[in-house]
Amino acid sequence: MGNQTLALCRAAPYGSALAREGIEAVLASAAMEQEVDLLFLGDGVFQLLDSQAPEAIEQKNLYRNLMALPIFGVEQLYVCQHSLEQRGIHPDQIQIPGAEISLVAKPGKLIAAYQCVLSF
Amino acid sequence: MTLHIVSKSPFSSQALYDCLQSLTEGDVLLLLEDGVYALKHQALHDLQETKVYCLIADSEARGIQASSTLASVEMINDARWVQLCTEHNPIVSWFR
Repeated sequence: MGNQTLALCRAAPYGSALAREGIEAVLASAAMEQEVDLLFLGDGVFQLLDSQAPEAIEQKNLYRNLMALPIFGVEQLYVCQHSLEQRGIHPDQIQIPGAEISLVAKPGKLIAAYQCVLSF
Repeated sequence: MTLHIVSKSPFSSQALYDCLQSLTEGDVLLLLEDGVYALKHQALHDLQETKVYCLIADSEARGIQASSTLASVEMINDARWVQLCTEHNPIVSWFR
């Protein structure tokens, strides 16, 4: 956890632009070699479902952006364990190839270790 | 120590709930804008060990006062808000 910045992703995909903008901000930062860690919390965990198929609602698949994270060197993703349980999502359902997903029982402890937290 | 800033009403937004889920020891909570409606929410009464601040201009504007059972809430002005920002790191905004 050598990074200084954490992006907090709390928005479900497609209902608003916030989820996409958060991931794009992280990808842009990574492209500029500014590494940002990610914590998915609340409805943000819905971004991680690999079964997303938004073509019929004329949106681009956000999961594809998530799959690009490891390519840009963002390999550590934190996910709130309680948020997953509340939404009936099993940890096996949220694999991202090339990324390591760590379940977090106490998000507050993780957040406190950063200098800067961006909220999306 | 983290400064958590909540700016949405807990009666219509998940902001306060998600914030409380992410509180850890030593963290403080600041209520502003519609976040001041949390003064009327049960969740705040259940928060015993967390220091809670509330922006007085926003609560007065909405006609909301802290009830007497919420002894731990400190009503603050803008200058104190700025001071809190300098005293805490990181600062997390819960705006939706």
